[in-house]
Amino acid sequence: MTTILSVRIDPGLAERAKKASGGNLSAFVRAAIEDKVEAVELANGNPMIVHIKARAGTWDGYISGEELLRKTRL
Amino acid sequence: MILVDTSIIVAWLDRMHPDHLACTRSLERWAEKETLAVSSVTFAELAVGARTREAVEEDLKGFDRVDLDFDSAWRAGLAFRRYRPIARSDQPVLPDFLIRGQAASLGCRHLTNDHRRTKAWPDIDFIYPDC
Repeated sequence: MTTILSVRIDPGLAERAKKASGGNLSAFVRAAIEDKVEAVELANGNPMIVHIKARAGTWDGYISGEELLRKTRL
Repeated sequence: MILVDTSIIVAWLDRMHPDHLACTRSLERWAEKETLAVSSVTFAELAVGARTREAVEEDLKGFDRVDLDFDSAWRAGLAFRRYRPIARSDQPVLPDFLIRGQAASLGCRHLTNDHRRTKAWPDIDFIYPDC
């Protein structure tokens, strides 16, 4: 189910959006709104959860996580 | 407060770890309700494989830090001495016991992805990513 959301924007920006969307303006705007909403919700949320999401998967090591645990825990 | 084990931290940080998603979700879930803490022993374990201290410091930002104290170290040593492996392949290592010794001393719950040797710690309330 979807709903129609009407917004007024500057004509120049509208033209740029049409060009940037590659012909599928609805999908383009939908994706942009989703990204923005998610960013705002994250920023307003629990800072620890924001941190956990931000650092997830960012391991930078000489060895993998599994190998590290094999070394320290067997 | 929940003391988070290295097994959770590593799986959260390394997206190639098979339990990456489960451990990340688990941290998010518990962070909504409680303060999360890490041990200085975890810091030592991460140093084994991390490229820089700065990156690990950044990773652990937001977690309370629990230094290894003498009481916890003693509990860990006793549990290590008393532990009887159930199989020849089960070779316990001290870091695991040190962190659990801290959880026991603090009387806090312990979030871990390591299901082994939990019977050596009847006084710890273990929680796992799939709980």
